[in-house]
Amino acid sequence: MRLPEGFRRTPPPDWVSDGDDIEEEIRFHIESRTRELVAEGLDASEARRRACAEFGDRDRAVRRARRESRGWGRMTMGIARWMAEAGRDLVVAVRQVRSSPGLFVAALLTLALGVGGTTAMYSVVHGVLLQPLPYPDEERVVRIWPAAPGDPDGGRQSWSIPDMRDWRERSESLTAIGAYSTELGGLVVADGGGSPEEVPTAYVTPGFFEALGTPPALGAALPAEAEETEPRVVVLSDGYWRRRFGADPSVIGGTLETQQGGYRIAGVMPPGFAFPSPETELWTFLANVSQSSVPWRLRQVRVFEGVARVAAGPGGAPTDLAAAEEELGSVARSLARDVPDTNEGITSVELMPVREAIVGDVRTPLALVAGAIVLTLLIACANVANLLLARGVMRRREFELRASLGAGRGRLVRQVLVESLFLSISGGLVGAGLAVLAVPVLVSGADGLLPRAEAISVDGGMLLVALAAAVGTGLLVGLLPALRVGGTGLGSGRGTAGAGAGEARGVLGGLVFAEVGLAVVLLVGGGLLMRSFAELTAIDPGFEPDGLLVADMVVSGYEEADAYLGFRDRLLAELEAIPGVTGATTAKEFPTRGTGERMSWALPGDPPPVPGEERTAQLLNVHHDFFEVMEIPVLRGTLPEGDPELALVVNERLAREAFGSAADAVDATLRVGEYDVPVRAVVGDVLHTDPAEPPPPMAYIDDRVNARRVFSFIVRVDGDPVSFVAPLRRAVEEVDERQPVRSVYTAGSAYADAVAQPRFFAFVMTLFAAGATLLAVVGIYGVVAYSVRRRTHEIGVRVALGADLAGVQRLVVSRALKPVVLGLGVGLLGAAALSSLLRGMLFGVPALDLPTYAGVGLLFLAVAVLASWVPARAAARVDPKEALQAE
Amino acid sequence: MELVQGTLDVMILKALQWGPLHGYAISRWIKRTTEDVLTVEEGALYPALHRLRRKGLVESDWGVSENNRRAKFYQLTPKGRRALAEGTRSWETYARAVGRVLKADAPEEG
Repeated sequence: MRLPEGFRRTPPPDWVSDGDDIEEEIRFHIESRTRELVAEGLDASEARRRACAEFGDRDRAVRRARRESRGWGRMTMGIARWMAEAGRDLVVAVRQVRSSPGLFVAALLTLALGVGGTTAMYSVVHGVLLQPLPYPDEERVVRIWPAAPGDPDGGRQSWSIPDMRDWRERSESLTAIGAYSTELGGLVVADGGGSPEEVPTAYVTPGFFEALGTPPALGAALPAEAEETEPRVVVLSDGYWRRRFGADPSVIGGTLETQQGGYRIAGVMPPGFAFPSPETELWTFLANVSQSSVPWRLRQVRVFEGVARVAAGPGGAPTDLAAAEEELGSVARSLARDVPDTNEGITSVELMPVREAIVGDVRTPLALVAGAIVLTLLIACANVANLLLARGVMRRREFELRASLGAGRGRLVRQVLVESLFLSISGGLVGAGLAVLAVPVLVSGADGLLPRAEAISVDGGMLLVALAAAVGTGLLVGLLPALRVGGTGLGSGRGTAGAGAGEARGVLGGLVFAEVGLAVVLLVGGGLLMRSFAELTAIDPGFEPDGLLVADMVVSGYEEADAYLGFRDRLLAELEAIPGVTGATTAKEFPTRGTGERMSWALPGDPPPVPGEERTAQLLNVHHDFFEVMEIPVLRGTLPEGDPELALVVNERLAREAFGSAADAVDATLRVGEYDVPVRAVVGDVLHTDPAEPPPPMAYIDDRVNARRVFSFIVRVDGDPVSFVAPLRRAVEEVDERQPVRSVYTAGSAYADAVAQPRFFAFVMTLFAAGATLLAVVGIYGVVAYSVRRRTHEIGVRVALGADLAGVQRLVVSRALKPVVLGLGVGLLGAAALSSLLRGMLFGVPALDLPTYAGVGLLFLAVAVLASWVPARAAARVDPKEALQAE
Repeated sequence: MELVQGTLDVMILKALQWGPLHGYAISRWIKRTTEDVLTVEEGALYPALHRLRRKGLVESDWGVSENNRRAKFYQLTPKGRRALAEGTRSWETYARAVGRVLKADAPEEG
């Protein structure tokens, strides 16, 4: 039979043998009837037409007969056929993508962003918060502090070695306890090039490695008994062992030559062992530190940190930290009675699980990030649903047509299934690639800000969850229209198409509403953090950071104060001689990196303070040119000049706390320890370690009176400070080639470090907010474009009847904006309700900051108008003639 | 008049009671016998035939028609005969029941 022009018959595959039979049967039927009608007197072509008409839909009969004869009895063949047809569905799916790539690309990108972004962020959260630490029975490993509950600082104290030993002997709830310090200067090792390098070193007591319990990767950790017999042993970090010794296992038993003498290399720790900090590269006994530099045998020298392992609960019960704290508290109280001179007031003990001690201060921000992940994933799913629903409704009529032509429900469902899977899997793969690329970028962006950054890698579990969410959404939403077509049965096709569209518009509107609401919450969060960050960076640091270069040093080899002050002055002279250097000075620590030492003070007439209730300030030992070079303003009085004297310069905050005002502080007296010390001048407050905290009360003392061997050299230069790094190092070598420079940095970078963490989280939240907004925009665009396409006919009629273009556009846009405005309102309310969670991370911005909320609202409205205006414009340009034919 | 669901199958079985027929002959027989009261969409006949064959009620074979054309002939199986008997009985029960209802008097007020 010849088919009309424009039709082509697809030859059935050769395994459909029944098909040929059926067609031949039907051909016979129609020919027989035609012959009969001819015999009744009709002419041939009229007879044929009548015969065909009487028979009805021929293709449908063939298809249904085929389906009937297939049955379920031939399951195996059915599956083979199913697979082959699914293959053809895939080809159809690809063809469809090629015919409308926009929708596909939008859905694909949504999926990729959703899957990739959330997986990358979850990987970071997981690496930091959730992965096990390399300590066996991690929950039993604790940081431990003596505490003086009456103390204004919250009571947590550093520790002395004699205290630690007494606790070890008297307490029963600990199986191991050790003290350590990383503040005593590292071992100085000559590197390959010959210039000395100070390697970050932890000085530990026996008990340290027993408390942590991590077995070394090579050799042995520091065995407790070796402190007596052979204290000069050292353990290397995995990183140092690789960098310095090329991961050579034969170094065990060899000697590490240092300026402090030779140390036998006892062992190498495994990668990921990062206690007390990831920077630590060497561990050796505290016994190697001489009493003349740190008199650690004295009970009042409280400069150590502690780590302990709590005994397991009886019979495998969980470790009871409260009970251990109670028992250790009674030990502390008995010590306070036995040695009241040094221990009065220290009446309790604080324990904190080591994980909490490490990740504590990033827990809240990371929890926020996790919340953002969930919201983003929800938005992505809503968006995919949106796009697929829009397409599903457009194809509803196609499905109904095919159903009435005899396509089975299974056939249609399979078609949708194949298409959805095709989309989900390609989107998921792109997303997985995105995650693999994004994780290293995030980790390097978070350099030094996140603890345990080395544990971060793409998390397979989260990738699966995100993929499952994406595929699940795709399947669910894709299947709905197909299943409903199956349910409506045949013959009712055209009538339901319109009703379905109205219903779908409701669902689509709901999805846009939800998406906008969620995105607004994220955008407000990101906006608040960005504003807070801007406030932080706008703080006046109290000195002029531009043009300052800083070098940290620990001076060694000069025993007498005069000797190292001599070294310091020679070095300052050498530095000032560098062309371009306009001033050089020193301080014990550079502001924004540290605040010096704590001192307690009183007014001369005050009664002696109750122990634990002293008033305190930070004391910083500075060179006498410090204020001039730093450009810290002198508010009152004059800086001491000439010969050194025992006197103080205080900052405004301390002046107010002690004397009420800056003016009253000049020439007043502070009692520090046993000395009455005159105050000569009041200087401006200077920003210190945490810019979100107000500057602490500070006192400065001339370091010729009270010398320190740890310095920051501060140099003010004309031009870019970075170009002075090499001359600075040369100057140090010139004066004493044995002195290692710990690190060199600009004041600007020190300041950037101080605000790095808020910057990182503001950056991450903004990234999420931007992603969510983008997704919401795609969603709005998709829905409007869909509804415009549905209503092309109506628009054509309106235009043909003389509606002006602007009016049509307004109509389309205003309808599109209804769910957007609703979502916006609810989102802003939700954000206000949730903003209290952010309060702890905000600086200088209230959680209900009106400009942020208004800005987000306006931004979103503008974006939504744009997203709906573009397709509306296209609709208004429709040629009415074409539009009317479109139906 | 539209065909009641399931009746077509019984009518096909009945048509085959006297011997093998091809599809066209079955459709003619139904048309003639019902005196055109029941309209069987001819296209629906073939799916029904293939369904009956799958259920094992009829079997089919190619043969030659009255005017020497190749045609597919259908024939009842023993199972098909039993199904026809069963179908006839239940149809008569059904028709009697509906008939009684339609001729019934007004229900008694109770």
